Amino acid sequence: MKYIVGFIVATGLLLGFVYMNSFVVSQSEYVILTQFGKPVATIKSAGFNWRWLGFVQRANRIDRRTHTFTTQPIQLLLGDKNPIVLTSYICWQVSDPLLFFQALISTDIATQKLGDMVNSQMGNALGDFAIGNIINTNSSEVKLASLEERILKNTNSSAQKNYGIEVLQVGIRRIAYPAVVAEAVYNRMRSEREKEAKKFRAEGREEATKIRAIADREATEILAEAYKQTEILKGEGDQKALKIYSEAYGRDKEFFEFTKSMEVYKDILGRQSTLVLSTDSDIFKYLNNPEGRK
Amino acid sequence: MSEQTKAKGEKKIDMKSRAAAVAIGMNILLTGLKFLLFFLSGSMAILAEAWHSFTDIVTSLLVLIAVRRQVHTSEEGFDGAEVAAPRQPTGRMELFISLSIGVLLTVVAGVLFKKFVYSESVSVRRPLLSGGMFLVFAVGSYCVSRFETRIGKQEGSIGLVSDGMHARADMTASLLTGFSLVLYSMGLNIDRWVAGLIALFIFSFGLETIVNVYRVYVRREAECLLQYRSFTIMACLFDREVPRSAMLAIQVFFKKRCGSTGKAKALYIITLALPVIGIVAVYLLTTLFTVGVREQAVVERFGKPVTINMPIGPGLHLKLPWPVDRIRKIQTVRIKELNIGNISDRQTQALIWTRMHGTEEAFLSGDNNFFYPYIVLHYRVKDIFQYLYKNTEPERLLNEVGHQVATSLFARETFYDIATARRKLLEQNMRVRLQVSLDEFKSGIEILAVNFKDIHPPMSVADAFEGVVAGYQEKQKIINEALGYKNNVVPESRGKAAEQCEAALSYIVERSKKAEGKAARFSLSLPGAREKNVAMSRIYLQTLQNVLKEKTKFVIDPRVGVPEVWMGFTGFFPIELKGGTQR
Repeated sequence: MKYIVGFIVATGLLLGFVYMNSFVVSQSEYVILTQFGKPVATIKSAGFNWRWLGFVQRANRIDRRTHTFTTQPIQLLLGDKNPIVLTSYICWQVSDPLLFFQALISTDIATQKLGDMVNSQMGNALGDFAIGNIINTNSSEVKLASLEERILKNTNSSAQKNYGIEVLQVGIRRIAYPAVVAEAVYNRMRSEREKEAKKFRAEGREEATKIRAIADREATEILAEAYKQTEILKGEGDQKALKIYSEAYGRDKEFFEFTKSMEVYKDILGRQSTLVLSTDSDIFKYLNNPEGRK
Repeated sequence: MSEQTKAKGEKKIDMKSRAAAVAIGMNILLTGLKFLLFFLSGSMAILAEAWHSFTDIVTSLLVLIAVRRQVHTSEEGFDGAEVAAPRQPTGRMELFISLSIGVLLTVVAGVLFKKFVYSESVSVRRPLLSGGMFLVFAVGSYCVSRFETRIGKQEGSIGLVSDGMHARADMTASLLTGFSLVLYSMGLNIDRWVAGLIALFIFSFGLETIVNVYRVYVRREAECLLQYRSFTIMACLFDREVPRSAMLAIQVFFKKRCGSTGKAKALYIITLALPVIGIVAVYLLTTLFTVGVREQAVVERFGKPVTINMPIGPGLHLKLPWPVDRIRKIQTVRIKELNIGNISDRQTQALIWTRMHGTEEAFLSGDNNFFYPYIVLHYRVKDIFQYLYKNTEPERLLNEVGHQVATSLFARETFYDIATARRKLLEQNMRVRLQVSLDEFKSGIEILAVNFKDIHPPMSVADAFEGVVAGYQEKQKIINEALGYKNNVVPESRGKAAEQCEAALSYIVERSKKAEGKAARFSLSLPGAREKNVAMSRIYLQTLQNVLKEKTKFVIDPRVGVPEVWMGFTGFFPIELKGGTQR
């Protein structure tokens, strides 16, 4: 019984001792071992490590993975005096754990410092860009990438030297306009749309007028053609009739002339006509002279 | 029992109840403040201390219950001798509540303890302020303790006195927390250890409550509720008599059950060994672990992944026991989604331009228009090692890079292209560029699809956009009307043309038929050569008859000359005739 209790107590003490005098470094971190606050070692590989009692040597863990954080939106002036609100994000990692530990203590403080730096660099860089370099339908004019590149370079030069941080990427995640400008943009968008709608209506009227004109022309053409055709046809009819007449009358021209003349007399001598006749005319040849001689 | 003593007793009890109530009030106030401070500072020790304060409320409540019980039971008239336990058994409900609280506190202690073991040291905000507050709380607790002890001694109530002791322990804990926070502000972080210690306090209280409730249940004595304190329970374990008597009891139990001594002895040894076997078994069980259907796992040996590039798939697996190996599981197969830009709130609602349908965040298109894209990314983890060890928050990275790619793509396109013609192409471009960026950062994320769920102009301008569509419709309408006119006019004129044509044709027929008729008639009436003169004379005379009949006629013989009667007709040939006569 005594041995068992003794064994348990001894094991417990041993485990406690091991626990107090060791620490584990994860794959995702660096550890800076400090002895009463003085850095004595930087451990960069994961695994089990020994140290002196917890309060003598302390393991300060620094995340070695890439951190991502979003800066606060900031209103800046472009080179052409256009105001713009930019939000960016920063990817960074610790490049010098010891320097980082001494300079910044924790990632929260680091992100705050980095945010300040990036926003200030952005303000500097934007002076050389116009709104056309930020948004443009002509792809070759858009220089967002070179803006990002420039901010990254400028930020990195001081971050690496002074804070032990390497900035991997600075990206612009959102472009916006300040509220007043936004209102103007809304109005412009509206007027643009209205312009478009008006254009459609006018185009409609244009098209309609054209169609009507063409239709009228076609109708006139058809009628004219028809007129031409009918005249030709009538001519043909006249010709045909003439032919028939001439054929028939040609058989006795004298008789035709005689009968036709008779018809004409009948026709032209109406009721109101007054005639002066000579007694010499054929009709009266028998009037004085029953033999009919002249 | 005289009226006077009864009144006196009631007054005393009233005093005690009031003291207990005051203690409860104080404790509730302290607990609330401590939880508030935890939210402000984030210190683990403060969280533990807040829970510890919560136990004080419970104790004070129990004291109040006990004191209330005495109101009913002390009518028998033990003049002022409430030291003796009341005979009335405590109600089942109260016991049940006490037991639940005991269990709850034990669980809370367990959770806190787990936090203490597993978590890293947290950073505390405003340590000095919180520390100062806790030193004030300690003074508060001290006052409560003094107050309760004084009233308890004055009135002779065990409950109140012991609660006072408890408040004093609470004061110690508050002091401890306060000092740890002050030390933290000086750079020494013992926050976690203090939290662990206080967790132990809470655990002891939970244990006490459970044991005491059990005893009250067995012995049916209300005052037992506060009888056993942790140290007495702990002391039992180190008392030689207790294990010995327990062993004896087990031995006797088995002997009674089965007759033969050999079998009884074997069972007895097994029973004794059971706890050890249990502990060992549980420990060995930590070498087994399962990975779910959708998961992959990485085994970390002292923080370092055992295999690189070979994740462990679903199934049952072995590892070295805690604390050597640890497992990190990630759902790799499951497709997750992330919203970029705007998020539609309700899934079933129709996505109409003029109706607000989500958290709206405007993007800018290349032609300087605001619009609201709703982009949904589908992704999954393709490399668990990269996912775990290369980025602190891969999802956040995905979100940020997603925004960046979208912003830079949209900055080059017109709104109409984004919404219509180049939508598909942009989706593909975004997917490719996103994947390149993510691979560059070794995020271990694979983009499966980029979906432009909805793209719409700002709500205030949406009606103008719809106006364009209306304008287009009107254009079509006007054109259609013109086409209608055309369709009307052209056939109509064609009809007219046909009509004229027909008329011409009928004219031909008419003319020729008439001619034929006339020709035929002429031919028929043509006389032969012999009769010709006679016929002609007849026709001639007949015609003259018709013509000259009923007409005014002057028949003149030229040989006679111009008759006088002509003078009346000067109107006919005035000049010639006048001339004629003058000559």
